[in-house]
Amino acid sequence: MTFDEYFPSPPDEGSSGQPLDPEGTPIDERSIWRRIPTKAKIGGAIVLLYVLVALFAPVIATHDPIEIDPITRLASPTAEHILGTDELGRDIFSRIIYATRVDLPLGFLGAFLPALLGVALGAMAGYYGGWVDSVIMRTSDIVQAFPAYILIIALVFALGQGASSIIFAFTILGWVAYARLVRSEVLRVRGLDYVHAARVAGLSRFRILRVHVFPNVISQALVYLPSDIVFATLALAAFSFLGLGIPPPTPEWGAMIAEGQPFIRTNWWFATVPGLVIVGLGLGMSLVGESAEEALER
Amino acid sequence: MSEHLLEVSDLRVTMQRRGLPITPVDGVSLTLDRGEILGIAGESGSGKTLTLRSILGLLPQGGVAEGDLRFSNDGGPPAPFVPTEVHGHGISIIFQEPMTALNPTMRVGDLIAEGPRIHQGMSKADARNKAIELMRLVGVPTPERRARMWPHQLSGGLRQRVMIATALSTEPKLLLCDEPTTALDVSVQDQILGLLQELRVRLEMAIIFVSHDIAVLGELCDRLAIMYAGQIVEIGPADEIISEPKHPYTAALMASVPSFQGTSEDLQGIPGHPPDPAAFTSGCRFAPRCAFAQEDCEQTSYELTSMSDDRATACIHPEMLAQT
Amino acid sequence: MMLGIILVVFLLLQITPGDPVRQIVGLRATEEQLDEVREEMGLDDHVLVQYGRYVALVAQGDLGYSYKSKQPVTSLIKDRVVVTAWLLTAGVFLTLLISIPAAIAAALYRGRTADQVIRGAGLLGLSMPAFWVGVMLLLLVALPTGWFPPGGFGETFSERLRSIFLPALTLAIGSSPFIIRSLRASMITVLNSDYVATGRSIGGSRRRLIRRFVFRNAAVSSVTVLALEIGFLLFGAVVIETTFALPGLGQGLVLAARGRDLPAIQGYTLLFAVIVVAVYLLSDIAQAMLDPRVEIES
Repeated sequence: MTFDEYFPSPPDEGSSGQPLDPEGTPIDERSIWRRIPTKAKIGGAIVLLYVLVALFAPVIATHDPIEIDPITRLASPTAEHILGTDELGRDIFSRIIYATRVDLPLGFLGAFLPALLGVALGAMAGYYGGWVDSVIMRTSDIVQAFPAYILIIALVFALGQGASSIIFAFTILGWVAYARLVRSEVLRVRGLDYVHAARVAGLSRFRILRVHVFPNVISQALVYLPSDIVFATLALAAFSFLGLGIPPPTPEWGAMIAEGQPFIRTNWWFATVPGLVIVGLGLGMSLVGESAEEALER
Repeated sequence: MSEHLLEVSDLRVTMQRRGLPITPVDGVSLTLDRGEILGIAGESGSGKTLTLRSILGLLPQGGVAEGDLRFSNDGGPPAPFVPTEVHGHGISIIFQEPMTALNPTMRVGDLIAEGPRIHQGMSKADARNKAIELMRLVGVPTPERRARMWPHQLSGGLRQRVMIATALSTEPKLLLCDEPTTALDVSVQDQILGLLQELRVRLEMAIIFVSHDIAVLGELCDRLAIMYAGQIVEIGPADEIISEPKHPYTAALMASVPSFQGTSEDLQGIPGHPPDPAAFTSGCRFAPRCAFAQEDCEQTSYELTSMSDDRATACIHPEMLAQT
Repeated sequence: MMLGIILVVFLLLQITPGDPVRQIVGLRATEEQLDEVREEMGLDDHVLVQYGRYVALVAQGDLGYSYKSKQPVTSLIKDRVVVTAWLLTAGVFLTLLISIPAAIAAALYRGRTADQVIRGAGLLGLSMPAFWVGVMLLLLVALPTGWFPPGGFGETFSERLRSIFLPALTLAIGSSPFIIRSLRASMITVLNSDYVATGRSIGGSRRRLIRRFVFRNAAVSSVTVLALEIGFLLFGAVVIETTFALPGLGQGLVLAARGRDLPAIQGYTLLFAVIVVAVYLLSDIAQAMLDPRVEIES
């Protein structure tokens, strides 16, 4: 066993970032488009696809997603019903398409709102310090110590079913990571010499925050966001699967999987396809997230 | 001793750094005889540590070493080897920072016993006894008790001794030392150096000692190699190199050390910085900082030229030095 | 911290809309009857008094009475604990079985094909909703082979093994990506450390090196990671038990939520929180056992 077998040398980690690309063009001279790594492009394309589907749902879908037609219930895929019908005769394909309008925005919201709250709280904690900081930090400790998802169940129960409770629960629990991130960044910047100099020179605090803290924070938060979106979407689907999420008849991928489970023997696509759709979104988002992470490492 | 113990020819180490290939060790050649102490001096980034590690193939993930390495394990002429062949079989290494170099989840006695258990098939009890013996050899007080301790329970000096004991457990003919005294305070440093000298005599063990501390190297070594920017710029008997350097870099190094009897000092006082490995040139890499640089210095390719039997320099204008 | 959890659980009752007394007595009760019951149950006492009473009761192990199912909450929970314990144990076991070799391989062959494949699989696993994976396993494994029951827990040991296998596998698929990711990172740190270099320089087989030098050091961090994942694992248990109709704590919680059985929900939530705390404690102990540098604080 040679050492080379033991510690083999890797290819360049990350698909771009070399000063010379494989064709020999110095990287800085390539157009912006070519500088984006392949991974990000694929991921971005996937996400874009989903967004477009959500936007153009009425055009793409073949039927009204909540129109019941008891006669044609549990039909196999045909030309008219591309993915067949569910137990109430609704067109599955159209429901999947329209579900994009539910899962996508809610998934985004479920990630953005905690981020927003977290950034705000973290900035406050780092900036004002003192008891504000203590309170916020202690709260974050308590929140973190809880088994998050279980709490979400409890909260959703208490507040009633539906999207808003889930989003609310997410926000209450998900802000911690962002808050800590922002807070440490603010604290770090506060101690820098040139910030002191700037303050002496009379620059407003807000401007300092904006120019020095935010860019760094935003780029790091951008790394968290894609995976948080995935988690939020998966959690939303899970809750709907359990019957605690979006109430019927609104189409939602997770709920559809639950609806399809009893018919798995005969109508296997009913439960399978919505899941594949979720996986697709998750993959796209994760690819984007990973590229963001790699870009940050440079 | 007409045959060398170790022969290194044209050693080159390549690594990737942010997508760029760099060659932090760029064509190093040296020889070593049995029982000899060779020092390698240089600033951080000169490639001296990587040179040492590549002999045992202990490069960080992503590093590749090329070149001709030969070692005489059996008393015969030096033969090419693959690093794993000499692990625990003739060459051992000690590192700079004993806290990170000792396995935190192994008792020190077990660590020292590891080599004998693997290579000599000793039983646990026998190996443990051997470990205690070795600890005594390197000067660890009450070794029976200390053998059961964890690394974090020992002081820096003791840890370093444990590391030496570990290295000795496989009865090496060559001990590689990667700045073992840098992290220690001066008094402990002296003890360790004394220990190494003693061991060289008692065990007929050769040593390659890497350091940036010229004073230490001057005290310890028979021969000395000076490295700069991945290359050896001068090599020869230690006292000659120190008293009569034939390369401007060496001269600058010597000049920056106040005295050889006093406290050791880091290299300092040479204006400028060593070149970035990504930007290594084929000519003399010290020329930009050299007080004696001539026009042809940066143009002429690097070559280590022998000046006499045991002395070589890469400087093409050593006469400039002699004039001062 | 326990008090904090109890507090939150208690607050659940307060913020739930609707009148719990009415739910208990029935819709047709008169105002006087409601008042009577209310006084009997102590619901008209001051909030703090109620809280104190609740804490005292919980400390004695009394989790309240579920009016919906006409049993004390504790008896509802009792039998379910076993099921969930089985699921979690088997799930963790399978997770480690999958994750540890995968992480080691990914770290050793960092950057090469094996690593890319493993990380890609991890990405995939992250994007797949657990309940969907469960349904897929039912579709692709349980139904065709008939080896595994599509639901239920079974009586005998071997029956239970068979019914727990697919659920545990689902749990493992869902949590492995996280474990692999952090294990891989800590393995890489370990593999590049000086003490592993020392270990290598001593010689010996790769297997011995991994066993003596790598394992215990990497294990410490994997214990931490696993413990952190417990919240996620518990939620996975909830979802998976529902999917496979396993009569465990998770299913119990879902049923309680669907049936708006408040005392039961409080009881389950409390229990889950206790489990989490216990797991953290256990992981601290395990860490102290594995890493000689860690000292146990009481």
